[in-house]
Amino acid sequence: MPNVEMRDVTLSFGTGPARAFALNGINLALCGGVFTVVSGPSGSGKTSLLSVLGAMLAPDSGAVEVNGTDIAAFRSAHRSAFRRDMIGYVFQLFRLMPALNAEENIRLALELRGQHSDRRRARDALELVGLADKAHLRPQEMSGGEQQRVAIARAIAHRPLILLADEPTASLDSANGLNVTKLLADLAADTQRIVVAVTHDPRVLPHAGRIISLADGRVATDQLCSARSQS
Amino acid sequence: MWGDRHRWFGRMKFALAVRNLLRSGARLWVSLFGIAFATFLMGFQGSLLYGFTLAASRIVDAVDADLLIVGKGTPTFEYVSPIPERYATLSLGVDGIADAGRGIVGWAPIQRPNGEHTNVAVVGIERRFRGRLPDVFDLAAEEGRSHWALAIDATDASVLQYAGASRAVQIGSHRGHYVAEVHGFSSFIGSPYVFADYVDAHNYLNLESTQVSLVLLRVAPGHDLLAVRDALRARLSDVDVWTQSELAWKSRLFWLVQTGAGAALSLAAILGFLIGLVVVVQTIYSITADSIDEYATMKAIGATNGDVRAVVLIQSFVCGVVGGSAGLVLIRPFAALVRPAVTWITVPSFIYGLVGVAIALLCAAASLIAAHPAVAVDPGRVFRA
Repeated sequence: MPNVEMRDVTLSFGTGPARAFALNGINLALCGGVFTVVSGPSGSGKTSLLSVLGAMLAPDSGAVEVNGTDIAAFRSAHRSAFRRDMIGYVFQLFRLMPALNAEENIRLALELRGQHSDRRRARDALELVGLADKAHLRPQEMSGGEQQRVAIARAIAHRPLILLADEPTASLDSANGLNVTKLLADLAADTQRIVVAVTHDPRVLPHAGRIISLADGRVATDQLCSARSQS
Repeated sequence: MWGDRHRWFGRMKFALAVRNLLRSGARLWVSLFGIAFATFLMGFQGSLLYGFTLAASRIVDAVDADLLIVGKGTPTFEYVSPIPERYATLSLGVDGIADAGRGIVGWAPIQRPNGEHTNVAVVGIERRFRGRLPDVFDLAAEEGRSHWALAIDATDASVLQYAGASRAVQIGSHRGHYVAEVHGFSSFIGSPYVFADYVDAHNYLNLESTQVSLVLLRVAPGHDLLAVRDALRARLSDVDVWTQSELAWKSRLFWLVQTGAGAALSLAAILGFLIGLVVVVQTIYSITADSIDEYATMKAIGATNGDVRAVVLIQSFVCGVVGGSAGLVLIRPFAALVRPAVTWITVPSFIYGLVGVAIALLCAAASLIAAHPAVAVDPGRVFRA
């Protein structure tokens, strides 16, 4: 089972008096199988946490160990390779390529990751999110909820170690938001991946196995909850 | 370890690149038009340059001689100065020379039927050395003449107001007779070539009987051409001795460099390249900038800068292939259209390959520049709503 450990992680922006800490001494351990939700007010460091966890940014100091390897020490090209192979992202605005249909969006992601981008793998991923019959549709021909599910399929098609979701329900209505939330929670439980979602959306919290609350770049609260954390 | 499996080009990258290009609407057409124009301009100017180069040495290339003796410092075939005829005899004394002949080239005024005068370049080479030049002796015989015959290129007929064979015309202080139109010897220097028998040409130019314009030599089989040339140079130090290809090259350089024609034509071809480059860079750059969020997403999900560059490069090359093909297709028809005015334009097959390579370089350079915003984009921007 994958595990991530963040130790004394700090990340700041600006210099001198204008320097602001987005993350200020974060210590966290994440393990697979738990749908972890990170919440907190704007500016609390949620997106920064996601960026560091996803090797998008290198922290100023501290260690981010993924299965024992410190990715914080990676150089840019190495971080990019790690991100490509080990991380799956789901974005608030879906970020699908409008010129490609659902299946092609997934195949592009596989291709970028140097993996076989055959139709079967893409279809399998779509099947997993319940959209096998919409493979031929372009993003603009789908609802927001469907687009987000395609984005999730894209994020998991290469079977990443860690799935990171940034406000995955913010652009969705209640029903679609619920579907997507359940899908993420199920993915964590069924695939034993580390699934972390950053959100403001209170509808997500009941489905979380763990809720981490950030304030001013620090962990304010960290609670395991519900039966999902046991799975 | 991560990142050891990577392909720069793939079907989905290609699909993304092409479809985004097709979605760019008017900018795609601007790009295609720009590349087509650049391709056409490079190909057309290259054809002009090539045709000019061939025309500049056409007469030298046509004669059947291995070596030529001309006056010291002669810059080009058309500007030879008279030399003593005895050089032909002297040459035969050099080991390796099998045969020597005489040639006349010079300028003479010709009176057109309307009474106006124009200068013509009179060319008369002894028959056995004339090679591909018109056989004026035979042409005259067909018209029942043995002397004072003239042949002109068909493209110069209007300049000389040629109205048919056997028309009398005053050339220099003599009366000559047009006997035929020939093809393939159009002039590029503004004054027509007029072909005559060697003896007649000698008379038209009023040269002294002991003078010729050039001596043409044939090297005996088994002898090294350059060695014979050097032996001649050693013996005949007050004239220039050139191989046929050397004199041809010298003539080309003279007309291309000394007159500035080469620079002008080359500059136009380079301008074509630059225009194409600017248009493609500008268009692909703006298409890239419009898709910046997509590139950020690609990078966020693991695309390397190479992947990003590959997509931009594909777009650039698709524009290059489509626009470039349109431009290439236009070259020959347009050359045919202007040939009545620019008689020496020649579109060689290799110009297509050369222009194709230039367009490929143009597209590669354009994509390197245009990819900059996509390469520089922060993948973290995809987290911002």
